[in-house]
Amino acid sequence: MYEEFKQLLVSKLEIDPDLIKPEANLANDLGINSLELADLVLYCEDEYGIEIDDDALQSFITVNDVVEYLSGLVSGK
Amino acid sequence: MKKFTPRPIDRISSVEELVYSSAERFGDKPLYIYVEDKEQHTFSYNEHKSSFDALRAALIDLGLAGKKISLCSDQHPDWITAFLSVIGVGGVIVPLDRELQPEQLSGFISITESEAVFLSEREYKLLSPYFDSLPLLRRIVIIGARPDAEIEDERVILFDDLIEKGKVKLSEGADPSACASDVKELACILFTSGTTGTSKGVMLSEYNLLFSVIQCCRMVANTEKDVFVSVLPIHHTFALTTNHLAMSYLGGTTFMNDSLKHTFKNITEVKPTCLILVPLFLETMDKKIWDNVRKQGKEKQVRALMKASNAMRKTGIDMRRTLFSGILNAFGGNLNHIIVGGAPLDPEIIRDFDAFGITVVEGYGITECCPLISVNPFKWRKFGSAGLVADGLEARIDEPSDTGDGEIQVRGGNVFMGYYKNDEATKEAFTEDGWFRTGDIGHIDKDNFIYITGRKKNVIIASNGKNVYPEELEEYLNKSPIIKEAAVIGRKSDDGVVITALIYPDKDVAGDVSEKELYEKIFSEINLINKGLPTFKHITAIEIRDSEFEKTTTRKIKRFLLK
Repeated sequence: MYEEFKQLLVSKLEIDPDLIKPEANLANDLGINSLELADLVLYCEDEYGIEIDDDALQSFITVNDVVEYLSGLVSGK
Repeated sequence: MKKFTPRPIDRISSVEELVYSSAERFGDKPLYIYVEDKEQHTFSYNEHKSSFDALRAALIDLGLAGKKISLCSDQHPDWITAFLSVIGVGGVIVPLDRELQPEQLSGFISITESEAVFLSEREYKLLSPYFDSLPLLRRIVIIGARPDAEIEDERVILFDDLIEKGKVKLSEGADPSACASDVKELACILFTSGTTGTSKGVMLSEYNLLFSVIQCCRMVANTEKDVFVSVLPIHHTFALTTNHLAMSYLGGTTFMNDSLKHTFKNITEVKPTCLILVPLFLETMDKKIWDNVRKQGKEKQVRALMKASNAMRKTGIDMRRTLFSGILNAFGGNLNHIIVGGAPLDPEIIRDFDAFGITVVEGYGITECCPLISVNPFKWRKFGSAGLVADGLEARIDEPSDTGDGEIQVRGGNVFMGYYKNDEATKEAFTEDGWFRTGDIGHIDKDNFIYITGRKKNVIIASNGKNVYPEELEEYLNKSPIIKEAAVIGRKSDDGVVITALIYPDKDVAGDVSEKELYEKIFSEINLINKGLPTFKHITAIEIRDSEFEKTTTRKIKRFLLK
């Protein structure tokens, strides 16, 4: 899931792959704002057939937070 | 010489007139389109009037007329009905930010002595453990979608049931207007930040709100043909007054965005003619446009077209909607203009949108002014200006410097009454001759356009237009044992404002650790704090210092020395 999410960050938001690390802060290290994150989340919902709670968006601080959340939902399907 | 004449729209005397007059003129036209239980619904101007009357009758019957009532939910037509109805029965409505933590919400319900609260099911579930600590709370009204399971609490009533109850009362002859109060009395309290300790409650009268609504209607160019997608939080005065109250008075139809995730999809599908936004959205839209253009390898071509199109416009030929239809279609194809406020916007983005055929109208406001202070008229925009001082408001610059810059002070019918239970802050907010000190630094040109150049207050303006009060974040930081002293500032960067914590650590608590380990320890504390905060308040950078902050004689950190 980490590699897939990393690819998504590169292809959708054109983020330098060298900057993407599990502990990277979405806002500070990667410059992703809440709207871009919401847009990415919508893409993940379509891609993996899952539904991500709006409130969860607020708890995503690092790349790993998103990856763990997505992994949990996908494995629980 | 260009000039602007405000539209001749008469002032209105009450929220009742606002609702009745709109229903009379626009009848069965949809006021709102909204999503509930994944289905799309419409809510007409007539339905709005009918709900407004019924809810007022029900509130009177429950003995809630004239009382303070809190309101917290995502945007929904019930939210607007509740907001206006409480004011319409002489009460005080307290709209709360649904991104706050339940203990913070409960704190605001408590300090405002609210006797009832309107909540959606989500907020009800979050707040229910706190209800027993709120002895004054008599009624809890669930708004929006009907809850899945029955709620066993005799204080709870569903909004729809309350409306039915009100309709029965009306059929028995109840007068919904019976408890309307003087429009200059307190009608609404809006809190400026997240904790009861640091937040100030902005007190607004019905007169303040209606003055601002009509001021807005006079200054903008919108009509009943306009379609909006409302994306900003509804308790935000910019969204509330401009989109939900003023545009409904002008007869527009608003689609209530059901999720931040669906924002762009909804904009494409609903095909709005106008959007009311904060800079964050425009920055993201602009970035998306250019990312797509680059992916298609057409950047040079698009830039050349923009140049050619701008040259053609100078000769009176406007081909933008044809030349840039691909870009415009991503926003539905009908988007004509965007009203933006809440934070400064990069003029380059305004030029980009202008070149594509979307006029960006920048304005300036502050909650204490309900919020409108100035806006660029549609046909008389000045780049870099926060706009022409709004109709009915006076603005002046206090003690201008050589460049003409000084604190912007205003006076007029939309200026608030004072801060709730905080005489000291109220006194500080006004000059001796009654002008409101905005805390913003700027100048005013000969045409009465405002230019903002800085800020006097500590508040950090996030690019989503929301205010971040350093004192609130410092309160959280200072609770951490590893942090001896903390100060929060907004550092400007290419991507906007970075909320940065300046930390003086307690090395005794931290123990014998390397610099890197200390940084990681503090950052993990900050991540914990961030998890309890809305995204726009997240602290995203820290700077560790070796010495204490310099302080005043009253032991307050000298903020002006912080860099």
